[in-house]
Amino acid sequence: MSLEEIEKIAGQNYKYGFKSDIETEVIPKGLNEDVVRLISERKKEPKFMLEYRLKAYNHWKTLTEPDWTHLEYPTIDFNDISYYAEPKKKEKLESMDDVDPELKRTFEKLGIPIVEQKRLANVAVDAIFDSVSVATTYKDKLLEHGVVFCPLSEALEKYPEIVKKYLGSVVPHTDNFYAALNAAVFSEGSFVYIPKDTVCPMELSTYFRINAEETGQFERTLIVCEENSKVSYLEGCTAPMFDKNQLHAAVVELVALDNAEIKYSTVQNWYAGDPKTGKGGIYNFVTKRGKCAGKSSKISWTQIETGSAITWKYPSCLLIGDDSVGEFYSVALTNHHQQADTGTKMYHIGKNTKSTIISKGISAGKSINTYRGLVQINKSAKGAENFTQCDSMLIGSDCSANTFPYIDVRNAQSTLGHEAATVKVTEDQIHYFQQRGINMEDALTTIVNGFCADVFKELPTEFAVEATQLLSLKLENTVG
Amino acid sequence: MSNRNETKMVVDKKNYIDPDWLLEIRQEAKALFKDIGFPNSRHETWKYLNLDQDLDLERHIKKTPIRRTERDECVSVLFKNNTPECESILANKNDLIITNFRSAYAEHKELIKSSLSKGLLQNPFSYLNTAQFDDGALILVKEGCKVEGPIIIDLQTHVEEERLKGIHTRTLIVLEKGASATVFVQHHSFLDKPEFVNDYFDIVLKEEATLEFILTQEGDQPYRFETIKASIDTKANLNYVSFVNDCLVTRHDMGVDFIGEKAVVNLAGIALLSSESQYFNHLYIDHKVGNCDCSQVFKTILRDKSLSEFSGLVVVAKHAHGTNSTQSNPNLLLSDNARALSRPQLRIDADDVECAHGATMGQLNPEEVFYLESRGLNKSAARALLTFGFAEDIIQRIKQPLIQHECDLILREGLSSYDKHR
Amino acid sequence: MFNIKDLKASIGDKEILKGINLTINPGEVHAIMGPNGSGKSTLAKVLTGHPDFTEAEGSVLLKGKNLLELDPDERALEGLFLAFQYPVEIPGVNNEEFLRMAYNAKMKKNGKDAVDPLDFSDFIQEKLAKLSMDESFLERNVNHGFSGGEKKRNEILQLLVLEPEMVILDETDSGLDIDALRIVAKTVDAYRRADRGILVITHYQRLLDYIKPDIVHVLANGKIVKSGDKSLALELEDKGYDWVEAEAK
Repeated sequence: MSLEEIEKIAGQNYKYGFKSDIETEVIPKGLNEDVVRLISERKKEPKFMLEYRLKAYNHWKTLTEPDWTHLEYPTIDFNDISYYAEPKKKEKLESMDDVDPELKRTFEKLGIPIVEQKRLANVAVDAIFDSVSVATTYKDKLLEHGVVFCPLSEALEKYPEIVKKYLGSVVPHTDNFYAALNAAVFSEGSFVYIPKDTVCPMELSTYFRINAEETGQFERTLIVCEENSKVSYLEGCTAPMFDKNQLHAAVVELVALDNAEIKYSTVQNWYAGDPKTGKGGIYNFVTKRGKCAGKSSKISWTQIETGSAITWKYPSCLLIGDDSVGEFYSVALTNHHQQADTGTKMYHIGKNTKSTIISKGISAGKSINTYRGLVQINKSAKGAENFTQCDSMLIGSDCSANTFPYIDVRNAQSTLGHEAATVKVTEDQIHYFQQRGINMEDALTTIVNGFCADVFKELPTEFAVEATQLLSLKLENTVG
Repeated sequence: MSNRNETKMVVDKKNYIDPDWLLEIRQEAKALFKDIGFPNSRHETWKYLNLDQDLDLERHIKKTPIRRTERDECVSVLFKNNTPECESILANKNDLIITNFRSAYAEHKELIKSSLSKGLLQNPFSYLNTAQFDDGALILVKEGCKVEGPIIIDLQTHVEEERLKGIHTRTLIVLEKGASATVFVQHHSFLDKPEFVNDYFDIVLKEEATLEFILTQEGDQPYRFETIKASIDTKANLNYVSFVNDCLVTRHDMGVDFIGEKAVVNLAGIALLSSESQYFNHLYIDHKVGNCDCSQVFKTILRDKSLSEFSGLVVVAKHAHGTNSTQSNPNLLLSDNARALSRPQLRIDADDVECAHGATMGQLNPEEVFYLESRGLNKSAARALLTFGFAEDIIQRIKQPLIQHECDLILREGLSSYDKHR
Repeated sequence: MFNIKDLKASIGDKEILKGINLTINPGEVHAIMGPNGSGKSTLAKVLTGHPDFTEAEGSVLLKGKNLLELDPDERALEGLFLAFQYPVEIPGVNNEEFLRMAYNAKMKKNGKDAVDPLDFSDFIQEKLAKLSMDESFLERNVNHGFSGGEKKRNEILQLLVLEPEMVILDETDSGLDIDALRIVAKTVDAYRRADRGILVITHYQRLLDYIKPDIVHVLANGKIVKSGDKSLALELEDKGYDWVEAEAK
C-alpha cells in the first residue's frame, strides 16, 4: 500500500449525529427588537440585561459580516434562523431526577453523565441543550467551597452584581459582528465564580448540544477567578446531523485577577457536514478571550477542534497584569470539506508578560486548515517573551494548509520567536509500523497523535484519552 | 575590455511617439491602477504605510555619497531620472545586448511586450510604472553567454527644471538558456527636492540561466518603491541580495514565479534603519511547479523610531511536490521606540513539500556581549561587533567579489555610528 | 520454512532483482553478501513489501504462505522481521508505546489478550538489560534523535520483544562501534533456535564472526552467483568481490 492510497478518504459516520425526539419550543425565525425583548423576558432577566442586549442589537445592525477570513461559505441569512429553542417539559428543576428521561438518554448517548449517580468522578458538568441549561451536577458541593457553577441565567438571578460587573468587560458587544449578535440574543451559558484564595476542588465542564433544526446557538460563558484562585474548565460540543447549516456564535469571557489561574479546554466535535457533499454542519463562529487583569495571573487555552463545517475562532489573551502568562495549545483537525480558520491573539501589555503558542493543524480530504495568529508586544510590555510554534500536517493531495501569523513588536527589551513547518507522514514511516505488524490505519493515527502530543499533554487527564480517541475516530478510513 | 567602444543611444526625445501596442498596454495599466486605486491603510499589504502622512520630506533629503570603485571591468546602464543611457559593448555585441527600449521596440518587441503586459498583483505601483515610464533598459544575455564582470545599473535622480511627477524606471533583464551574469543596482541622488521613485525590474531566467542580482539603496528619496519580478525556469538559479541603508520610506515588492522544475533561488536582505526610516518588504513566492528550492533570509536592524514590516507569502500550488522552502526574518530591535512587524505566511496545497518559516525579534545575545567583553572589548564595541556580524552574514552571500567588497564598506560605514549609540 | 523462488523486482524499467532462489530451513543462519548496488537492500524491501516495490514477481513462502500476496503488516504478523538498515524517525510517538502496540498486534493475531502498560513495562525491562540499554530509551520517541548505533540497538530490542520466526538483518553492523557491535551480534546469536531462521545481509564479514552462518551467498547484479560455507565470507573479505562477479560472467 502506498501513501497515495491514503487519499482515498471515506471518513466514518458522525457518532453523535442522532436527533433526540424531545418536544422543543422554538420561537419564530428572524431577528428584530421584539425577539431580543422576548428572549430577555423568557429568561426573566433584570432590566440592565435587556438594555445591554438592545444596545448590542442596535450596534449589530450597523455591522456587516466579516469577509477577511480564508473561508468560503454562502451568505448566512440571519432572518432564517430561530434565536431561541428550549425543551418544552421544563419548569424549575428541583433535582436531577426531574430531567426529561429522553434528555437524560441523549446526554448518556453522548457519554455525558448528568445523573449524579453516574457522574464522572471529580468532574462537575453543566449540560446545555439548545438554548437552555438542563442540568448542573455537583452544584451544592461546589458551593461549600464558595465556588459558583451554574447557568448564566441563574447567575443573573442570584448574582446580578458580579455578572453586571464582568459581562462584556473582556469581549465588549462592539468587538465584532458575531460578538455583537451574541450579546443581543445569547440564550444560555455557564457562569463560574471562584472566590479569593480558592482552588476549585474539581474539574468543571459544560457540554453543549444543538438539537433543534434551524436554530442558532448563542451561548455565553463567563468565568471569574478572584485573587489567588484557580480553576480548570472544559467544554465539549456535539450536534445532530442536518442538511442545513446551523450557526453557533458563542462568546467566552475569562477574567483572572492577581495570581489567579484559569485553564480552559475545549473538545469541539460539532457535526461537520456530510463527508461527501459537505452539506450541512455547524458554522462555529466564536469569540473567546481571557483577561489576565491581575499580577502574575495565568490563562491557558487548550483546544481540540475536530468538528464543524466551518470554524472561525481565536481564543485570545490580554496580558495586562505584570508577569502574567498566556498560553494557547491547539490541535485542529479538518477532514472532508471542513474549513478551519483558527489561532490566537496574545496582547502583551504588562511588564514581563509571557506567552506560548503551540498549534498543530492537520488537514485531510478536501479540507482547508488555517492558522491565524497575532502576537503584539506593546511598548509598555518591557521584558515580554513569546514563543510560537505552529506546524501543519497534510494528509492527501486535495487539502490545504495555511499559516498566517502577525507579529508586532514595539519595544527593545522583549524577545519573540516564531517557528512554523510542514510535517509529512512518509511512506517509510508507515512501512516501519507495518513491518512491526501494526496496520496502516493505526500507524497513521499513532503518528498524528504523536504530532499532537505536545498539545494533548496540556489537557486534563480525564479528557486527554477522549481527545486521542476522537482524533483516531476522525481519521478512520483516511487510509486504505 | 579596455578598448570598449561606448555608443550612446540617442533618441530624438521631442519627436518620439510610443508604438501603438505600447500605448494600448499603457492604457490598460492605467485602468488597472485606477481599479486597484491608490493604496491606503485599509489594504492589508499597505496597512502600515501611510502615504498621506505629513512628513517633513525636505528635512529628510540626504544626498547619497558617490561611490565608484574600480569598475573598468564593468558594463553599466545609467538612468538619469526616467531615462536610461546604455553603454553597448561592441566586443560582446552578439552575446550581450544592453539597450534602451526605444531602440529595441522593433527588434525585441515580443520580449518587451510580454514583460510590460504583466504586473504584480496587489501592487498598484507596478501598474503605475507601466503606465508612466518614459523609456526602459533592456539587458539581454544570449544563450550560453557568461558575462564576466558585473553589469551596473546606476539609478540617478537629478534636478530638473520642472518638478517631476515621480520617477518611474523600468528595466528588463533576460538571461537565455545557460547564460549567466551579475547585475548590481545602486541609487544616486543629486536632488534637493523630495521625489517619489518607483523602479521596476523584470527578471526572466530561462533554463539553466544563472543570475546574481544585488540591489542597494541608500538615503535619498523620501519614497522609494522597488518592484522586482522574477520568472524562473527549469534549473535556473537566482541569487538575490538586497541592502537597504537608511532610506526614509522604502517599499520592496518581490515576486518569484517558479515555472520550471529543479530551479534554485536564494533571497537575502539586510536593512539598517534609524531615525524615522520605514522599510516595507513584501515577498510573494509562487511555487507553480514542484522540485524547486527557495530560501529567504531577510534581516533588519532597527534603531530610533524606525519601523519595519516584513511580509513573506509562500504559495505552493497543488501538485507542486518536492517543493522546499525556508524563510526566516530575524529582527534586531535596538530601540524602545522602534517597531517591527513580521508576517511570514504559508499557503500550501500540496502534501509532499518541506516548508518552514521563522521570525525572531530580539536584542543582541547578552552572553555573546559578555563573551566579547571578557576578551577585552568595551560594551559598545562588543555590541557594534555583534551587530556587524548579524548584518555581515547577509553581505557574505554576495558572490561577486567586487560588489561584496563594496557593500562591505558601506555596511562598515553605516554601522560605524552604532559604536557610540548605546 | 522460508523459501524464495525466482524473485524478480524492478524500479521503472530497470530490473534490480533478476530471479533469486533461496531456501532457509529452521534453525539455519544464512548470510547474503555483495558489493554496493548488487540488490541487497532491494531484497530486504521487496521481502517486507515496501511501497517502492509492490509489483514483485515470483514467490516468497514463509511457513507455506506466500508473503507477496500480503500487506506489509500481515507479513510481519506471519513472523517476518526486518532490522532496517536506516530505521526511520517517528517524532512524537513514544518508543515504549510503539513497542507495546506492535506486541499487542501480535497478541491479537494469536488470539491473546492485549498486555497492559504495567505488565509490558516489566516484560521489557528484562529485554533492555540484555542489550545493556538504558531505561531512558523507552521514554524517547521512536528513533527520533537517536544516534546510528542507538537506532540499531533499538531494532534488536524490537526483535527481542516481537520474537519473530524469520529474521532479516539489513546491514545491522553499519554505524555500530566495536562494543555495540559485539552486544548486538551476541544478542542475535543467542536468538538462534531450532525453529527460527535468520538472514544476515551485510557488506563486510565482521558481523559473521559473531553470528556464524551456515551458508553464505554472494549477490551480484541481482542474482545469487555463488554459495558456500563460512569460509566464502573470509575469502570475499580477502579478495574483494571482483573475482566472484567475473566468475559469474
